[in-house]
Amino acid sequence: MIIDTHLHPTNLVDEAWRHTGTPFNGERMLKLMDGPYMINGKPRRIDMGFIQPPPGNTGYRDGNRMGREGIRDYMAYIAELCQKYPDRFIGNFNYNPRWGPENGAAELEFHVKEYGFKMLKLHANMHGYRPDRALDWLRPAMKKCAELGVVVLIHTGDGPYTIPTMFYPIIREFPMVNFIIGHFGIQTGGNYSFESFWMAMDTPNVYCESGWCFQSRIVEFAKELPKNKIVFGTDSPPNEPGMWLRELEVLCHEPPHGLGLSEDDLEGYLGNNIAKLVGIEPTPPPRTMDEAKARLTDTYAGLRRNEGQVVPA
Amino acid sequence: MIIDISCYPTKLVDLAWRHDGEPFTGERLIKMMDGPYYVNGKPRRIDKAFIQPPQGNTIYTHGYGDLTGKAAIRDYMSYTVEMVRQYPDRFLGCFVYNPRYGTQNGAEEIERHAKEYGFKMVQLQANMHAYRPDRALDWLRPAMKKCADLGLIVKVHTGDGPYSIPTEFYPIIREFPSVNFILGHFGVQTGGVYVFEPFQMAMDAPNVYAESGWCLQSRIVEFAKELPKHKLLFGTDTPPNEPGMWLRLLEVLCHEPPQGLNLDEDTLEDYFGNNIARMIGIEPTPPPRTMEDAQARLKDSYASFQPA
Repeated sequence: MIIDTHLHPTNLVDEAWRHTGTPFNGERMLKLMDGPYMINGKPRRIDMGFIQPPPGNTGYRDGNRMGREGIRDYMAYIAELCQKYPDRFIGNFNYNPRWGPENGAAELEFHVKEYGFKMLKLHANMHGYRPDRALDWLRPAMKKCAELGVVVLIHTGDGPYTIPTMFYPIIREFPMVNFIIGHFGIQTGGNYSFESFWMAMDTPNVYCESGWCFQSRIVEFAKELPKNKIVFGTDSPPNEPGMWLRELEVLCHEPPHGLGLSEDDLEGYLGNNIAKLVGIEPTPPPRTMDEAKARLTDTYAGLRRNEGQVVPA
Repeated sequence: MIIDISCYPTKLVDLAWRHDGEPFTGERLIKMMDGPYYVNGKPRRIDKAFIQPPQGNTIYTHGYGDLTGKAAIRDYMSYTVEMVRQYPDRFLGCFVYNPRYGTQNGAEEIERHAKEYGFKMVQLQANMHAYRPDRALDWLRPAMKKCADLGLIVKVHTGDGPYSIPTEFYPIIREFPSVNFILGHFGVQTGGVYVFEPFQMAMDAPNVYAESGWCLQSRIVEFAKELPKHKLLFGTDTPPNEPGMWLRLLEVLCHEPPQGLNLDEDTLEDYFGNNIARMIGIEPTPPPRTMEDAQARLKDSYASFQPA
């Protein structure tokens, strides 16, 4: 099973980053996810994706509504897509405390209960706060995540407010919440991949997202990290999945590029790890070409479900 | 034609980076170059590669020989020379210039490697060799004069402080406008991300080019849209990187926005290898137009193509 933890379909091009072209809507995203992408000689699709609005569209701009109504507006297209394509899209709630921390916490609960959202996103740079000091802005949402079993994805990789260790205070205050360090601490503004690696090594509730990680570092990090600590996320758009699937596939090669990773562990990285974190039934990697082809249109093709584990039918 | 401008075959694992596994020899590199890699639906190989020793093996290290001066330089370059002579159709030599073995020694060895073994490129690694490229200009001038005389390209390691921030090389780049400089791995390394610097330098300076590898995927599409088409060159830094991921980085430019810019296959081929081929006087080739064409080229770069 392949699950991308980091997708941004939209009906409005990111107002901060201004990517070229027409809005990359949900239907274009599904086409991109369908691929197919060749992995270890077999065709694969991205089975599911966590979707969230482009961060640049989640801050106040003159003319927006305010408070909870404003939050619902910037989350509206994501909620619509999750309802329209429930087998492919899983909601990720973008939490901006500037619309009111209590408003955000209440809206998180609403999106989880109404639309089945399973993830919350923090973007301290876009929303302008120090995560190590503005703890009162984070606590209401984190309490709700703990209560509802929601995973937190953190934008990291650039100063001033998204250096990974700046999130240690809130991570330590909520040990029952699982935190994913987005794009392995790398962004256009910096590289903090060693911080992310050590945080995931040292802290049980910290995981790393694979996308953006430097190819020649991830092989070193993967060798040391517990196998459940890497999850596949691409940041598409503006990225695209093929390059980042290849990055993980190469881990199955021999050193120095790979580490002789097994296909089962690769499948963990590609999707089963995050599936287990959010309560989706994982699947073994396709063993044959026929199996792989069947899974291009049905994630659970040829598998028996709902028996505690998914096994070949 | 696909030419990778940054490869490091070796018989001694990099002493600085300590990559896992057995040394990545020339034969392993050729196997990796052979792929095939699928680009726009066709199988491709890396036709040629510029090779150089791993940087961590180009400085004095107690226990790894007590040679000095030119002898030391020849020693750390020796395996690269051997590979270039053994596989002249696949490998092109890149000379690693370490001024700490003597600036005149280095300049003279550049000339020898160019004339005897056909080397066409010189690499600067100011971090590994520990000097400020904007101030230690006297350490760089002898080599740069030789590059100007011999028409050699200079590839600059960039992407991390303290000495490999791209703009630190502007003084030497401006002093030698007749030399072409390639900013290695687009200003990105484990120590930093300086992608906007190489982009603006390549936009502004006629003799500055940018290497594609390590560039952030969502930035290269923006840069490629603005840069003159001849300014982008394919390089992977293999090993420790591998070519597939970085071919994909450029292939995606043929997709529609926002991930791509609807790049045509001819320009993609320029990025892949024809740009650097023209810079060093190798006959470029058009992209394979058919599957048969592509398959024939897996063994012969010029198959089904008559050079002008």
